[in-house]
Amino acid sequence: MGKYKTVFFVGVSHSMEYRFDFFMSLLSTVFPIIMQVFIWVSMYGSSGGDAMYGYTFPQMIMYVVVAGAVSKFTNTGIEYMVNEDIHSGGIAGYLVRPVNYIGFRLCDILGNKFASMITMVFVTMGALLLLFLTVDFVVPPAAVILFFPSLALAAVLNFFIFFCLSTLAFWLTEIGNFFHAMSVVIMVMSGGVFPVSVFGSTYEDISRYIPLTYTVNYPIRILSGTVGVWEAAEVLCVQLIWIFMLAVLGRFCWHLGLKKYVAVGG
Amino acid sequence: MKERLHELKWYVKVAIHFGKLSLQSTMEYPLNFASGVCVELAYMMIKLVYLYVVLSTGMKVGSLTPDMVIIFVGTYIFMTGVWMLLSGVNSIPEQVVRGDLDLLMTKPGSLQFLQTFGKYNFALAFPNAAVGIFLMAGGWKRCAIPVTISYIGVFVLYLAAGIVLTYSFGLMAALLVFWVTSLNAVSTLYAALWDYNNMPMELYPKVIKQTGTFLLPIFLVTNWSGMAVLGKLDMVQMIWGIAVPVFAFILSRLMWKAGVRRYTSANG
Repeated sequence: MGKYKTVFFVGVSHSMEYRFDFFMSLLSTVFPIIMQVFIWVSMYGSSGGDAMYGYTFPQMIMYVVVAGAVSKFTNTGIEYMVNEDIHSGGIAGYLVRPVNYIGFRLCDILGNKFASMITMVFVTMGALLLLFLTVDFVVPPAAVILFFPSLALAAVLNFFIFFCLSTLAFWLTEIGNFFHAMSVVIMVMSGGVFPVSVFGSTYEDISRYIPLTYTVNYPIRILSGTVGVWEAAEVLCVQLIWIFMLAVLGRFCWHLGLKKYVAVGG
Repeated sequence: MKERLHELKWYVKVAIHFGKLSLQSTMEYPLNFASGVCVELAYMMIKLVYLYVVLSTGMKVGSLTPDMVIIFVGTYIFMTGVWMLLSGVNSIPEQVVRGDLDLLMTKPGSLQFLQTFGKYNFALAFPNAAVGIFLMAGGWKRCAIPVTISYIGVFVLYLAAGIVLTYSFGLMAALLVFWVTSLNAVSTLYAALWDYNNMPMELYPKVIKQTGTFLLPIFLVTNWSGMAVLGKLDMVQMIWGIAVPVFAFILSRLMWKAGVRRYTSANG
């Protein structure tokens, strides 16, 4: 366990190494948020202020403000790391060490995300305060308390979704662009740009049975108060179930891929 | 004058040759071409989601009807294609850091031309250009804008001005590599600013509109052509829409010269 703790802390110090890049990337998420805020301001203005897609105006503003930061936070980039390790032969180094590769990468990423998590707490608090001052939007304390564990679970769930995808690198050579395309599609389908309800009731119904919406849409719905406390607890359970299922699937694919893997080097 | 014209003809000819070469090398690996197209289609999905929301709700963006918004989104997608096409511009930071300008410097012709028009990425440009043109034409038809030489001429004029701006802004952003070590943050910010054009500028409040028109004239890239044919440009805006691209091009040229003067390379 100690070695994974060390990997976690190495991840923490690594994330603090490039503070400027981190804050600039955070700043770059602000621009699309501003654009979306104006879209919804315009839309609710012309609809007379009624609820749209199941969200009141303050709830929708809260959704778009937090969605950008949440999808940035839950995005782990594991697929590129695994791809690089497989194609450069780097995993050979991990195979001879007394570590579990999946556990190693998970701890490394969680460590890397630690600074982002702390920043996310402040970003969320700032956004909530701003919404309270501008549109008198109040979030129940229970929603805030449940939001952060669901966010942490969302990051782990996202890790396993992309880890399962990344094992395709064992069979395909040029897969970098595929990962790129998939990450964009998954971001949209998980509600990282607009709430899932925007895409129609059919997709909204389907989305309950796929893991994608549990990475962005549901954590924000918990915060915005569009799901009750019990339903929020249910979401946390569903996230845990998906994590378990995808972890099993990821492990299976990994072992299957390793049988095909050949490392030749000096 | 005759000499200048001859020189211009030579550059056009060389640019076409570079285009053919880029196309040939792209088609050498058809799977790479297909995967590039897929990536752009995924990004386009986000752009189209914004349009879908506008069309499905029938929302008016300022004084623009949803049909008019189609022209603006089409122009934005088309310009994104132009930006993606200019891979010679987008690869400047990498080329400079690796010292790859050395070889280009020894070749005849303008260094800026050889670098910025030497490579094109057709895989990323193709889906954007195709969908952009389709949306522009569709929006034009739905808005019942007359199909006359004067309307098309004005639209194409501001579209060309937008292309010059796309080239100049992209070049200026890339040239910062001569002054700073890592351009990651600058590129991310530039891409985020670019995305403001995903919706017509009428969506934004006055302060953002004026900043995007006069201070950082990013709105001129995709808004002016649509606004011109919809009769939403006054005389000052019309002149501004022509003056800014000329000014931006000159500025990017000066910046290129200043940057190249700072370029040093040591190769073994």
